[in-house]
Amino acid sequence: MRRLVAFAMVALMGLAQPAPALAYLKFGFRIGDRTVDVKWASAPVRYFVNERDIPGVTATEFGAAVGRAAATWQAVPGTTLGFAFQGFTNAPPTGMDGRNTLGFLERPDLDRVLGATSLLLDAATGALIEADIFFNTRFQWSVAPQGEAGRVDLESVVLHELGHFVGLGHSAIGETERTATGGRRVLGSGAVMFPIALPAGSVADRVLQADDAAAVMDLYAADADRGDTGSIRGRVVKNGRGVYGAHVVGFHPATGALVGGFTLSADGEFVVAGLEPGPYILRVEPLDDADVESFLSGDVDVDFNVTYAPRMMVAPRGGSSGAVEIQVEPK
Amino acid sequence: MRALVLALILVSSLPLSAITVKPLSFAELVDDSIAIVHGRVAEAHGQWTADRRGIESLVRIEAFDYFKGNLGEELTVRVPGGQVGTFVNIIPGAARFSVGDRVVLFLKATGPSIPIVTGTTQGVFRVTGDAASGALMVVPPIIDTGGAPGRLVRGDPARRPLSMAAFGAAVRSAQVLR
Amino acid sequence: MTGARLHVLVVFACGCLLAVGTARAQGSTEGPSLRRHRVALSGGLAWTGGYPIGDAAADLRGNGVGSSAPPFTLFRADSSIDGATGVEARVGYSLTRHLSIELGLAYAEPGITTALSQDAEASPIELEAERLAQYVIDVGAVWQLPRPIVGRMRPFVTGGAGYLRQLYDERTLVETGRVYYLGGGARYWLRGGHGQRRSLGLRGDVRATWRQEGVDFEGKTRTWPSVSLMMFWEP
Repeated sequence: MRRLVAFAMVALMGLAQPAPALAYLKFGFRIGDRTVDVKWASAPVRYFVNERDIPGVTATEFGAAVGRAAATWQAVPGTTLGFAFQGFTNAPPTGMDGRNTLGFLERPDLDRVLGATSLLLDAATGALIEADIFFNTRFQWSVAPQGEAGRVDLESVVLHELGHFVGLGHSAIGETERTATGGRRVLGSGAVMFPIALPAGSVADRVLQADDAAAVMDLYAADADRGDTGSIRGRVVKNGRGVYGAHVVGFHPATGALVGGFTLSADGEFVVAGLEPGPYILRVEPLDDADVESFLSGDVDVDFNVTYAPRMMVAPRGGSSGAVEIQVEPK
Repeated sequence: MRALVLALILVSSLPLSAITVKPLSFAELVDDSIAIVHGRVAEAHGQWTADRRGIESLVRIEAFDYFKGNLGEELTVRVPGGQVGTFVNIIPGAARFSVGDRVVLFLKATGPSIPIVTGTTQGVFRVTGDAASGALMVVPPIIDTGGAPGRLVRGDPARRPLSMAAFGAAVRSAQVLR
Repeated sequence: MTGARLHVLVVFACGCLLAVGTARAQGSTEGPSLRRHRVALSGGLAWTGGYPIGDAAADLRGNGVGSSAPPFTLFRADSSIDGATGVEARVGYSLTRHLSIELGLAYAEPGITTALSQDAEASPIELEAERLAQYVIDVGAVWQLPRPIVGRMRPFVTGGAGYLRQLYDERTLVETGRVYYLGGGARYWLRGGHGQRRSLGLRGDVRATWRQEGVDFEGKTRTWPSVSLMMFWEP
């Protein structure tokens, strides 16, 4: 039976009814006059692993790495997210086959892409119904427990791609530097979902950070646990007008957690949610060092200085802070 | 027919749900592109990919001018994801266009095929009007236009949206360097 | 003043009070005191000192091989609770002419001040204070020393423990903890203090308070000084 046609709004929540967003962007889907989160409607999410071996990684080792990464997401407390391995398959990790498949593909044309995720959506409900992930054999991979110099840690990249798999976009918490040969490298990242990978040999991104956990809690929080977190809301303004596309990061001085959000409307409004209750220092920054289009489309304002909210804001348990207005100045 | 088609990380595009090893430098972006066009989105519609395993969108651009190459006054760009009839495909992080958008696109193509955006979203720049002067400005700022190696400080006053003229100069400068 | 030094100062001060009281015991008549088995009320102003509550680094995961690359610090935040003046009330019951037990309630609104630094993308800044509504409910003992310091003034030493409750601005989040205090002071009788007349006078306290839990970004035990000036009255 053909489903009702609906136009899929890719990524940008701000074009639809504003919804709470975190440091990453959730994928939004418009049905009629409302926007729904793109997410799995039920748990566990069943997946297959392609049976192909590649140099340095057997299919069994690959499956084990996927299992560990899935368990990492599943272990975020207070969520309903779950995964279930269904077995190995010879089906490629692409195409329409009714299965969620992870596997390796030879993509020498994508010489800067370690791996990628593709999502299939139920147009009637916005629910995810199929997703595939491939990992590029153009790179040398490792499943060594402590990592291997010169080889990309497979589990770290699987963890990142599984974040997309469950409906998360990228996080903008991170700092980069310009290299001598042009381009950029990561100095520090605040989330596994930061779009630029740590170097080959690093295994640090096998562990989720606070921003990642807050993101998945927002999408998949168990009803009983929704009251355990709080949010901070406010507005970023410049010369009296709202700023669209500002990156707002909250820092909890007791736990060290960094969790962020974006202003997703022309009014400059933001919500940083999924927060452990407590006081937060808010820092607003422009996305002027990033591939902005990978986060937001439209007229993103990057012409302002990094600015702190005038005072700490408190995320209450099960509620939201009062609104704070943060005034930024043009560069 | 089976339900919704799952479009892939497409043949010659870089899906943005990906995790990248090393972003393209501006010079590489210029060098990898056969054309750099300033134009307006006139139309966008979905179609099946050649192997009929996915959906892509064709975006028609009315060109105002070119910084590199020339693909005519009207050109079509291929973008991953989209809708065909009841089939809907989402490619997270792919470039998204609406009719009326004013953009600068870096484009590449293999042979006579329909061009695609270089580096996926890295090859997409938006054109906005400066609030004070009304002049057309290109956003986001170019991250690495020959600056010294070192930390990219957010809020750096040296990194700002460029006017069309300055953007064109940056493209020409990158071409000379290569 | 560090906590250790404050401890030493308070112990020294109590020792002095004891020594003075004892030294004057020889050959001096006993001074005024509260009546036995009576309730005494005290109320007035109290000043609490400030103290640090944590120095935190906003760290990003560093870039390096393996899993132990040093973190990348985005900025640092150094926070403290400011000194504040509030109110205090105490209800005491004299078990003997020298020893009484008390129930105390104090309220103040100290601020949390945070200084931000080491941010390569922003200038150092001190944030506006975040106000706390702070309540302390305590139970303690007051031992009035045998002899007056001079005339109608008699010293005492005191100690006790209690409950701390700190509410953030807008009262949307509360932190609780425990307090322990040790100190001393003196009462000055304006009226009564002998025979059947009801007492009325002034009371000054100096205490060192140790706090566990409550608003703190490092989970440490903190110490603050307090000075209070109250009227006391036997109803």
